[in-house]
Amino acid sequence: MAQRVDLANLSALVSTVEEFDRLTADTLPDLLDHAAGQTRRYLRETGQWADDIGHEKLALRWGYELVERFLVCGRSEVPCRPLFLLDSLIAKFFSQPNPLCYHKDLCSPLGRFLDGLTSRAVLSRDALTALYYHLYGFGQGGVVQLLGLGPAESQRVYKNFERWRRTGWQRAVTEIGMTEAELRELEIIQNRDPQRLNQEADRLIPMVQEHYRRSEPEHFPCLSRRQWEDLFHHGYGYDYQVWHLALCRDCMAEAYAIRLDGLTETRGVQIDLHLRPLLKGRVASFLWVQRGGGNGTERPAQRISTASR
Amino acid sequence: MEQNGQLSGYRQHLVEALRQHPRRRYREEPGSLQVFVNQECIGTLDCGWGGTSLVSVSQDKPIRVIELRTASGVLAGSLCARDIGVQTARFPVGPHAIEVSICNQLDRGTLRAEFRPAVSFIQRVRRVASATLAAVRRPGWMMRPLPGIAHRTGWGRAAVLSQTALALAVLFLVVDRLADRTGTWKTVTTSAAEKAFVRQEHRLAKLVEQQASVIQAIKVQQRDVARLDRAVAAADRQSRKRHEAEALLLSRLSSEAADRERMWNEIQSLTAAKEALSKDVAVLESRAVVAEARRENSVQPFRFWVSFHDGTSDKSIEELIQGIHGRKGPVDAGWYSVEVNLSQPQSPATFVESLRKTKIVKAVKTNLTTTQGQ
Ligand SMILES: [Zn+2]
Repeated sequence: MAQRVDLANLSALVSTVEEFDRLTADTLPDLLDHAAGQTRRYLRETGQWADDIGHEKLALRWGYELVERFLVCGRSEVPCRPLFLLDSLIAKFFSQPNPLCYHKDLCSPLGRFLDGLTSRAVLSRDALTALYYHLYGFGQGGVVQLLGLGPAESQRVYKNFERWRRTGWQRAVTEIGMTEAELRELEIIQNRDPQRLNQEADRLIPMVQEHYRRSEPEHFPCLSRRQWEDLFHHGYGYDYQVWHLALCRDCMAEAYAIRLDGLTETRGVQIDLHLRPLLKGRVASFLWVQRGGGNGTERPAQRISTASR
Repeated sequence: MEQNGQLSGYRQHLVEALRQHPRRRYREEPGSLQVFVNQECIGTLDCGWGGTSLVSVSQDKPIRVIELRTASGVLAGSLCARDIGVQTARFPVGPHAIEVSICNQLDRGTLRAEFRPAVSFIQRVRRVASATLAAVRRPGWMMRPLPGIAHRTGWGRAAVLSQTALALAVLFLVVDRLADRTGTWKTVTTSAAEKAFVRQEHRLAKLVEQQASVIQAIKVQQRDVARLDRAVAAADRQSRKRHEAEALLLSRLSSEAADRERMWNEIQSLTAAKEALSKDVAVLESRAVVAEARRENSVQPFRFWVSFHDGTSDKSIEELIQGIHGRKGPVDAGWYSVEVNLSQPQSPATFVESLRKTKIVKAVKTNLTTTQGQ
């Protein structure tokens, strides 16, 4: 009953940004439930639903993402009727082709971890850089060498890793809905039989990556080995490299083979799953490697989509 | 039970994350800001080095929604673009700001996003002072708005007003000096003085001209502001209309969904009724089959001989035999041998009785040897 009253308030016309902020702040649980409910309905109607905790968490997670967008976007839409705006946002989102990365195997704890992390990587550079570590075990140094970054870009990668270690990872796993117990369970499996977890990840990663690569259509095509060589040789397209390689195993293997001679961390590109972020000790060891010569490519990297002045 | 606890815990975390969101948006350093157009990343704004950074894109479809996200993924700004027209917005990120302009046409969308780092007060004063000095040193400085602030309507207007005031002050001084000079030099008429006077007059005319153009500029700006106000009001109206239309659409959709659900329920109940009915039909059918079988069991073959009046056509005879479902046997001296099946209530006697009443029948007998069974 209380929820119905709040939803009625949300259907009324809001005419100032302050009013919008106040009303939405007071009704966050209702907004989340509403958006999660709509997501659940979408999943049900498209035959992608099962009554289990994995699916419930998926609905909540996407409900959360949608409400986050609504809270920011809605401020520029005032005057508006908040609930209708949220519904129209949700309708627009679900009217896209394959809006969610869905496969029932991705509702398992490992599936949710991989899906959630990759979906985060699309939105956050910190998470994107962290994928190199979580999937392959590359530290900052490895990433810098693999991508052949100059000092300025390298600095950014250190910051990405640092932020991820401090707050990003914890926030991401919370938002994905991974509990400490689930993480520990995965760790137990990993300790007992590391190959088993890596093989399972290996199976799930292509479907996740294929879905999320869509988020950058301009960069969607995979490059040939020759094109990668060209890209590395001329040192351009940093944005593309860091984004595409994190989200494409095949190209990652090409890039790794090209860069192999210059790498101090020759760990290969087999899946080597890391559930928790890189610890600080690894940062120190990397700095030592950097002072000892780094990657030898001291040119500033350019970005193809950015013009700074 | 444990799962319910896990879910409500998760939900609580998400609500809390949403609650923290505005604080994070204001507190966080942007790092490299990603710009998303219609949910696709089109580039990053480099915000780490203290300078401005720009990203722009032009695509062959209108821009529906743009999003700006910090390196940690916080949504710093988002805008639902209008279908057609120009739109600008400014999003604060920590102490900095991102300025966004969108231009949508029917088949085209252009976006320009610029990161503007925060400038400290001292930096700002220094910048304005040096800009003013540089402008004063240049000829025609009065017509030039101060760089860096002219594009903001409020500042631009203030700058033009202050410049107008300055121009009027100069004008006043010149007029004052001229009045002085004409008073004292009335008696002394030298060509040099006249030349000077003409020169002064020239300058005065130029100043008046400049003043007129300043006033013109103010008018133009005022017109622009009014137009902008009107555009903003129209846009507001439009967005309200759009929301209302969307709301209507949504309510229609949901009522349609309700209708669909109702129909589904009806179909369900109809299906159930049909199922029940078909069960009944099946029962009835099986009963009918049983009855049929019983009837078949109770059917008795009955053979008799029949003769017809003279002149009865073969056709009439055939029709009668068909009418009683009879099986015709051999004909012997005008006697037709016929066999029929008699079911329960019918007895050979009643059958023969009714047959005898038929117009064309002359006689019926049940045994060939009994000569007259009439
Ligand atoms: Zn690829």
